[in-house]
Amino acid sequence: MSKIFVIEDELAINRMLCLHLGICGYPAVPAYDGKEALLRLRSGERFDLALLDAMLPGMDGFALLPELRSRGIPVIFLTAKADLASKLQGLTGGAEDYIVKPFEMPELLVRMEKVLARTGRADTLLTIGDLRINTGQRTVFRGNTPVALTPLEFDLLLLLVRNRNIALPRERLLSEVWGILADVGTRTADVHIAQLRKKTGLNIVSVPKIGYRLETEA
Amino acid sequence: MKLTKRIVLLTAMILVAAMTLGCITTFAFARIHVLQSVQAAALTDYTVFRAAYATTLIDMPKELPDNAARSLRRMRFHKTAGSEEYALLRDDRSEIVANNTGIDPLAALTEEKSRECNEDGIRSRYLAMDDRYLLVIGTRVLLGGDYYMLALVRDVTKIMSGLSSLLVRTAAACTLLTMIAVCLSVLLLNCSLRPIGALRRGTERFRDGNYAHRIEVRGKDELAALAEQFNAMAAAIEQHIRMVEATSEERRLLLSALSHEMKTPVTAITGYAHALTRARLSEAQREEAIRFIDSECRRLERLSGKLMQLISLRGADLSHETTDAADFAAALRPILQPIAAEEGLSLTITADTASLCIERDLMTAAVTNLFDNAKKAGAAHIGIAIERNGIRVTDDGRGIPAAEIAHITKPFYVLDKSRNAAGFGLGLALVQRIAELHSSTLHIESTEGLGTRITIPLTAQPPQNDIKRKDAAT
Repeated sequence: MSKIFVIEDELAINRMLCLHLGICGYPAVPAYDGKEALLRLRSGERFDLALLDAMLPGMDGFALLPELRSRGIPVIFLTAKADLASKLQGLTGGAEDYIVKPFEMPELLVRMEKVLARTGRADTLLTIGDLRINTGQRTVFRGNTPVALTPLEFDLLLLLVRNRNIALPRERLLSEVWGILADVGTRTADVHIAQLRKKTGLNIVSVPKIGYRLETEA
Repeated sequence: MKLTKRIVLLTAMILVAAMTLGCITTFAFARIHVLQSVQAAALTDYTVFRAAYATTLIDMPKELPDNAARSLRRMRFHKTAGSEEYALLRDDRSEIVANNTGIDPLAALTEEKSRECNEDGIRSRYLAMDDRYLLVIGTRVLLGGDYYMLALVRDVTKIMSGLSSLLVRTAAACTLLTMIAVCLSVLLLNCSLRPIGALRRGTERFRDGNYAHRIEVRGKDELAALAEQFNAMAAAIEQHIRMVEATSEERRLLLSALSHEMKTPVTAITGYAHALTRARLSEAQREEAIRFIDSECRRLERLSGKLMQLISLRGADLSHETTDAADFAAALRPILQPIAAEEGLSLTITADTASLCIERDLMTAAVTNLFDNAKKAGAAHIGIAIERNGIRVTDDGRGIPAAEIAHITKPFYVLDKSRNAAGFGLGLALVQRIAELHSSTLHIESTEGLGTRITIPLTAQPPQNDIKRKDAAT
């Protein structure tokens, strides 16, 4: 999976980001100030995406941005600075996205996926248990046996895999897989989840009052 | 403008009435004067004629036959100069000596229609007759034992018509003068009432939010005084509004800083809450999430507490009391010594013999805040001195860069954004506010790498503005 560089000085937020990224299967590397981040970059470590705070001790985010860009690392700004000038400075400086605090994790994860897909860094080959998913060819293999999925089931599987270990509300499944305007009842989701369980043998548990969660062995 | 119209109308009416009355009175007096002069002249003529005629009759023989006496009287009458204006006839009309007047003088001079015009019993009257005006003067004279009426009848038509043409001219002159006077008074009124218009426009502009607008004051009359009063009121309101605006701007800045400061804890709390409700977590991860939620909530609590302190100190009603420096130092020790012991730093609190006029709770909060700052600056030794000329906190921490000293008392200003110092940048703002409430201001001296000395200068006298504040509150 894509390796994420988390540059954020607030301990609570850095740990929280790493926790979520870890759950979703992204290896996350934290850095707590600008100088520390720079040292890691200069040591030649490779990252697929950086989550960057603007106000950092040592060296601020805007100063760090060129260092990241020159190494081809896409950057998403995560900052409390909501003013237009800062947004423009970040985006024109080469950041892929600019997210203002307070933000919600699901939104951040979706934005990260989009940036990874756009910059060609998203994994085309996902592995979960004995299941191998090729997102480019839209094929699924269980061991060496291909699994036949309808396009809807494939999209559903992808969403669950990308948010593994996180419960997804039925409404989100419906809106992302069927489209926001689809007038299908939540029962439709239940039927497709049951189909997916049968075909893939994945551990998709239903979470009371929320929806479904794909659980993997940690 | 209603008032001006009303005043102009009223003035015009009064002017017309006054002019008309004046004109009528003048004419009446003129007429009386003219008629009296004419009458006086006629009276003089009359007495002269009567005397002259009487003289001609002196040498008349006593014993004459009636016919001869009549002819003699007539002849003598006609011979007397000016007789063409006179008439002479017997009372009972039995003998008309002469009548050149063309009217019946006896009828004209009856008791009711004429009046005596002098003590001789001479009577006179004015008589209007076929477009002519006549003055009739007459009395009875005794001729040869019989009473005769001698009358003068003078044509005064010319004088009378002169009088009426005078009346017309006076009326015309009066009308003209009245018109000029009305025009002038309108002009003058408009001039002197112009400040009312300016005042109205001024209030309109003020109402529309142009608080800096002032009215130009001209002259020294009541309207100018009113304009001056208006300007004074406008200045007071403007000042008040500026003050309210400044306060609200200050609050707005404080609020935006607060919402900025809240973003980090809120993001962390919602993130961990999301993980707890949605994700499958290990026991260790779950514990960490709960621990962070707890610590971030405490941080929010501290933030709101500090901020409330800062806000409630604005316009607070304070009670300053006189405290011995030694007492205050003794009260501080049990609060600060345990913290110092825990952190492993040395703390000395000294006091001289002075009496200080302070709000004890607030000053304790100020000293505690300064102590916290010194501690966060990595001081190994902190000295607190409570003395006659103020309270001083000295530390040997890392110090403040010279360029930052000016900003450091602003709310939410954080010197070194490092993850170890869990400050909000409100502490010094609070201390500064407390100093201001003691009519003082923070005095900060610092050398980078060597330490910082912060003084709250105090005077022994109770702060004057505190008394004013209480007056204003009642």
